[in-house]
Amino acid sequence: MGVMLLVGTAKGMFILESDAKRTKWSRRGPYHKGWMVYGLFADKRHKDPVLYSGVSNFIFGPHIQRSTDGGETWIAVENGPSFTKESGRKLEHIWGFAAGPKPNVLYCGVSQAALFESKDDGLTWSIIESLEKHPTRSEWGPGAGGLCLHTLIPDAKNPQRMFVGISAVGCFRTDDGGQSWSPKNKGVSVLELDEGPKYAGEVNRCLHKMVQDPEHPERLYQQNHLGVFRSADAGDTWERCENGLPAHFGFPIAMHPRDHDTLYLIPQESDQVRMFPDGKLTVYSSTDAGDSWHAIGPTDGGNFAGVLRDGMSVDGLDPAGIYFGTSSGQLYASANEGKNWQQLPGQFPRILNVKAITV
Amino acid sequence: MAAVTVSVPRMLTSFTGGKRRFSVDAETVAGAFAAAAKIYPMLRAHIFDEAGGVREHVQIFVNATDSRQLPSLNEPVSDGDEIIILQAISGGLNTVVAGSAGVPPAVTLSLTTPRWRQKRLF
Repeated sequence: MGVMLLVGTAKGMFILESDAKRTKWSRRGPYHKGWMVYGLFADKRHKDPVLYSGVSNFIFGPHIQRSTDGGETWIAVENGPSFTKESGRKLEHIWGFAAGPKPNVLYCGVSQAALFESKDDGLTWSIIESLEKHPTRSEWGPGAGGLCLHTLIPDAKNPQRMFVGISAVGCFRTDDGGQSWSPKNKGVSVLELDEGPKYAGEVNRCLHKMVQDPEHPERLYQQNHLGVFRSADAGDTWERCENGLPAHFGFPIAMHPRDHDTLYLIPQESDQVRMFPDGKLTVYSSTDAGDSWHAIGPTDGGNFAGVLRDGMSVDGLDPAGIYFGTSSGQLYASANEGKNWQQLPGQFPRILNVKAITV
Repeated sequence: MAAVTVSVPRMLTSFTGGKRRFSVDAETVAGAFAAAAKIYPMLRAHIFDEAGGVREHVQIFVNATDSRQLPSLNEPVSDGDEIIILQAISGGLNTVVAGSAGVPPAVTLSLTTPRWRQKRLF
């Protein structure tokens, strides 16, 4: 057993690997050199995981890259996500992927916000029209990172149910295999702009990242632009859960692979500042399903960077490893659930995505 | 059919097997792109946008002529012509398009206007 760490940056992707001790790491890459790598995914339904990268470029736009040899070689997907001319929409970044309930089915989320489906292991993609034509669509607005569908959570137990997270729109849920979608944002604070609430209704919530308890799939947790929230009813209602946090703003949230009441997030000071409070880079953990939070390090002083929404990941080993990358290109790891931390060698470009894969 | 050379920027060579330049047979500029995309399919989506136009920050020259100065991409090409695909130097609030008054057609792309000059120019 070991860990493969996929690291997507603003200028390419790196792969770091270690054995189960996770003390010594090797590094290869950059792959997709010069391209931004927002989306990363390992489809572990295959004997050898199939890797996906969502790559993009300010000049030339986005596409998906696919690897069947552990990331050594990559092939661009020719029939990837795309908008029609008539849609008037623009494909900007490929943000996230998820495995569907059926074999060979994959989903990916993009900006400008849309959900795509592949039924052939990622070789061809088509848009999911039910979300594309959602009646609230005209009210959707972007956050600082664009109008992005970044989080995709096929329900752990119900194959007809799936959640998606969109910035700055909120959480949506389907209970009928994607034929219809309902906003699920009741109890989540509405973004307030200078001129006041921009939209009434059920959208205009800036969900940054969301995780699901696979054992109790009605339990969801989200780091939002305006705080940390949890739901005990599959998103029908949400409540704040911020006791012990030094700040309520942040981007990533992650869950322990076996103890699903244990969560991790990285607070940042306000949406206007977006730095670690007092310059102390600190992961906070809850071991009681969000009732309370406490610092678990590394409490690296003098760090005024940030961590982006996909910048944190947890592996499946025992004890679990926690990993995160900063917006200034530092990569941190703990091989023992936050008791000890190390900064992994290398100064990377702005880190957009970190995915830990147990191999 | 004319033999036309297509030149791509380094960022797109991952779609052309590492080639910076290659030859296609075509009758028009658009035909050359169609022929290029037939050999290297990923080129199309990275040069043209969803509406079918050249991406905002991609610049194409047919020999020394900015493609945006052509009546259309259906202009004929001749043996030995070169189609050069570049990433534009662009940004800022205002742009000056090649071929505008005072800007020679073969001088490139779009220029960033320094903030201190914006009032004077516009």
